[in-house]
Amino acid sequence: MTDDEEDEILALLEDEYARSILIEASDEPMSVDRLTERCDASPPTIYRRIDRLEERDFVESYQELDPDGHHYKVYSTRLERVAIEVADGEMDLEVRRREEDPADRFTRLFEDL
Amino acid sequence: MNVDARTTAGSVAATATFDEWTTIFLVGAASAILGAIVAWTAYRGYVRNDSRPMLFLAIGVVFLTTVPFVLSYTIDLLLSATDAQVLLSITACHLLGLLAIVRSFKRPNRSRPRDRP
Repeated sequence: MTDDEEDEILALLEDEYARSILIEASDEPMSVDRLTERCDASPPTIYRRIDRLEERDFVESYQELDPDGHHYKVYSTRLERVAIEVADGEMDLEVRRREEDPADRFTRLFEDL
Repeated sequence: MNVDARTTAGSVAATATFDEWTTIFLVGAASAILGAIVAWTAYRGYVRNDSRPMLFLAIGVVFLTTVPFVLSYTIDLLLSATDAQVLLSITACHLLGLLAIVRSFKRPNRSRPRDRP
């Protein structure tokens, strides 16, 4: 991991809304609607944080089908653990994520063909 | 003595034939089940990511693996079909499956799925 990436991760985790999204979506997958409600933030705020969290693979998204036929996205947390180690004049950041769903990995592989 | 030997040989041959059919069934069932797992994963990929290629891939895999296996053991029971008809239906399934996979190569202009506000 480069220093820039580490800085970005630390900045992201410093953000109060990013943290509450991670916490809320770690329990069960959540739509932006519910995240807006639970995190007490505006939808644009939630969208911006989700974009940044998805970029780091801290959350994953997938489609959910409403009974009335409308698709909407739900988000679920993949971040499991961040370890910071300081030793020998260096700081090291280690991130652990939950395994990606095989169906999503398969889709990504096939679409990238 | 001779009769005994023949009887034994006969039953051995019968057992061997039985084992071959069992093996064919088991190997066929294994590919049918694995095919179903791959197809189910692809189908979930379609549902979760709204990806039409994955839907066609799922259809293709299931028609190449699971459907022909099930047909080969059920069609003559249901319709008392001839061997040729069974073979034709299986070959037709393979063709359908491959057509679905060819179709899955077509990539839509991927518009990002709409987020719900």
